[in-house]
Amino acid sequence: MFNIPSFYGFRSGGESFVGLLDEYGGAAAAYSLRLLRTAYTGDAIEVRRASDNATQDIGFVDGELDVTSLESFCSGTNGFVTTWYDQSGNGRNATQSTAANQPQIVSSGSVLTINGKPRIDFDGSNDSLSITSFTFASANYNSFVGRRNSTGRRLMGLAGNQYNYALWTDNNYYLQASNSGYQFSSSTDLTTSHLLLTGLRESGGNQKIYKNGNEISSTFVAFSVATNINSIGVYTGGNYSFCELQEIVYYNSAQESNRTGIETNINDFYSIY
Amino acid sequence: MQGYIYNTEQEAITARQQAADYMGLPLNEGDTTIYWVNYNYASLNEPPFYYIRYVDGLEAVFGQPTEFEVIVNDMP
Repeated sequence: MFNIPSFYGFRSGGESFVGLLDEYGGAAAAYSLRLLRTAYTGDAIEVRRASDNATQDIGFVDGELDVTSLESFCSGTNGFVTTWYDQSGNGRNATQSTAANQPQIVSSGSVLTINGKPRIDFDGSNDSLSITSFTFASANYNSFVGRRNSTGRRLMGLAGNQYNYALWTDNNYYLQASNSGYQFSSSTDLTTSHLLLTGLRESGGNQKIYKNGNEISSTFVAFSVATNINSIGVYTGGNYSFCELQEIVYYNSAQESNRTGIETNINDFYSIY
Repeated sequence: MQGYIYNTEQEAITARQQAADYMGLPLNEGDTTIYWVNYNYASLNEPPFYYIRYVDGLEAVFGQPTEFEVIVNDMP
């Protein structure tokens, strides 16, 4: 029997959508510009257009962002994300109430993309999205897809206040998944390529960072007090991402046995490596 | 950076509202977007101060911005 690859979200016959979170459920927060879960009936994003500050929710068509509606709404102008909806079912929507701090998704009427897939641009100076603060567990898992603007600048997805949570790269790769310390890769990497970054912390305290499915760092880091995740794109007061993001999934469990499957699902869709 | 400095938080709050009013924000009751720009606190500067970072067009509300430095607690 001929099978349509599941990375398009549809199984053989095209009648049945299967999303990343259908296969690997239990995410604590999940943000994407594609549909991640069959039971999710909400939208992907709310967008503000620059021409008149009107806003509109943008959903999905065939499991992908409804680009036609988005470009129609933002015809001839720029579009900015006011809300990136959480598809996990936990209601952890990421919002930005200040127009100048909203990341961009449409430029002069055209949706911004990487490899033909929509992206959200963070400007490195004040763009971020806020999440109602939630506590990360002593075992945790985070994968995200994006590309930094230039060498030396920061690619980062979910983050908290200082000494809370963050997974990021500037010219090294860092995972702060415990407030007692962080780990970082020993060798520098000047790439500005499209990346899938994964950071996981096992219950025993071993932390691992993966770049495009390959482990690049593994370190034991003690865990003391559980702290918080509260944003996308900014760590503490002034450490902003200067990057493009497409998807973030976070679990309050290490997902060791599911990591390869989760990363394969993401890569099959975004064609990163 | 370029922007506008305020000595008290109340002054910064008032400025933020002036900018929002100029832009007609929020457009509708219940909208997510309620401000054009927001203020920050430069807590590591001595003395600390509040500020609004300049964005295109903001001079129409506050005049020409000034240049100043903000100390941030950098990531590793």
